[in-house]
Amino acid sequence: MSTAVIAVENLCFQYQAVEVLTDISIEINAGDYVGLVGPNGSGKTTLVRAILGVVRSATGKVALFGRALEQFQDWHKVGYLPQKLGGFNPNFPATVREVVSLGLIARKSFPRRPDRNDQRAVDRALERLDIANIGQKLIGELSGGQQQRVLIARAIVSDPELIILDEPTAALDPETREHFFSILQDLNRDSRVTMILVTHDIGTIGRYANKLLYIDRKIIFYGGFDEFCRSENMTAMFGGGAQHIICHRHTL
Amino acid sequence: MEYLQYGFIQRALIAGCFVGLLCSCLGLMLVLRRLSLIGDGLAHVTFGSVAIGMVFGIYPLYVSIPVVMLSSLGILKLTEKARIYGDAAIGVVSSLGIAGGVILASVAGGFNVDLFSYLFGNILAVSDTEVVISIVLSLLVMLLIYLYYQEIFSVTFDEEFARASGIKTGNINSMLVLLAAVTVVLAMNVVGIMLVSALLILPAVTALQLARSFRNAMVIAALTGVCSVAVGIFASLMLNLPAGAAIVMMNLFFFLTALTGKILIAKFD
Repeated sequence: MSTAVIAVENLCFQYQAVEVLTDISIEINAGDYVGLVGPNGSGKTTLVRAILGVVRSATGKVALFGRALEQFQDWHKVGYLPQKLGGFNPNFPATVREVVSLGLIARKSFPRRPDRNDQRAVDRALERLDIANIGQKLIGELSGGQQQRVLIARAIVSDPELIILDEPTAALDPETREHFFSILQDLNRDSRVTMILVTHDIGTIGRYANKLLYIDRKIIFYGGFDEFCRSENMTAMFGGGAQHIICHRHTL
Repeated sequence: MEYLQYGFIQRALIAGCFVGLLCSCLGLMLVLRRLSLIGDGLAHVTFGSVAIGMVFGIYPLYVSIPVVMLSSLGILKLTEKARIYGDAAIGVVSSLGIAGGVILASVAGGFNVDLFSYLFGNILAVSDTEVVISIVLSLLVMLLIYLYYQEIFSVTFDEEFARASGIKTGNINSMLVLLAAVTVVLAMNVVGIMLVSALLILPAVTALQLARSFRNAMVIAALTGVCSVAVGIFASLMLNLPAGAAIVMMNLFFFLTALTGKILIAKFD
């Protein structure tokens, strides 16, 4: 029996006495491509952050690759793109290459100095995102879309087995967005990389993901698209139009 | 050059350059983490700790290092646990330091010349012991920055990502503020409590005008810090100015030069 890449059991999270996540239990397996959707304030980002240990869950259990989060050490298996593009200081004097190489820190042993192999991995990630030509530019000098591409390159540079992206396409133009989704699709299909994509773009997620996790502080729906498209509960929840868009795109 | 034959100038240059190097490298991290004023806050605590040392007849440096280190952790914990912004936490701890220092100085019979020498610094009066302490602690802090460079870089750039990379960000943050505490105490002898934050901030903001990478910023900040101390000491001797203030003015000169250069380059580019 294969071990789940992510196993969450009875996860609850409170922020200042407000219940943000209630009794979340999910398993995500190798090769899954999960679209994580829900309305604003539904706890999508909090769930992702709890899974990664960025926020400590009040109760419940999280395991990554079969190991309890508290004991998990193989962070190089995880690629992460946080939600906020403005999460970093735009005046930070870091080059694109320096930022992307931060994605390799998890696989390095102390004192985590990058070597030639790391430089080659950075080259590959930059080429994959079509940003090799701006490797020496400062991150603060780039447009929002270019910065987002750099951060996506940072998320995939270590060839992770699990990639979690929190609203990755917010700052991207349509052409770059398509290119970005095709990269993710290649990684998922060819390398069986497990994906979790947090997004409001339900049309796009219907096109690429094979599972849908819909939450609103608790799980409303988790399963395959076929089940979702047949569900009358989901029709009531989403409205027939939105459900139709997701299901239509999924069958394309 | 004839100045160099005097022992007190040699001691001032050696201790000053080490502390200047240390302040500039650490200052860059603090400025980028938007903790620029932690130096100012901890300097106020240093004032209180110097007063403790004087009241109890203990060499102030020995009291200041542990007290200021504890205070730096206090600032961090206030930010995390009391859910207040870093600048407010710095304000709380620094006002405690100043108020405590004033009360202690008053109980001990009022301010005296010694306390004022700590307030405004007197690097030309630095002793052999203080030179050795400055070198040893500077090297120790620099070694820690070198060893944890990648972690510090990651946490400074994007803390959430760093945490998701398995970096113990809490430990790195604690280390940074503890290093800031040691640095502030060491810098007290160079420029005095009142001007410590300038030694941390000015080389960093100078570097940010010119740097084309993070590593590059560290080098520029370090050069600015060391040059400011060296040139500032010579300027103070030649022009008969207070050394601490001369060092800070040199730092300011480098910053304004870098800023002007950047503006001119942008204009004609």
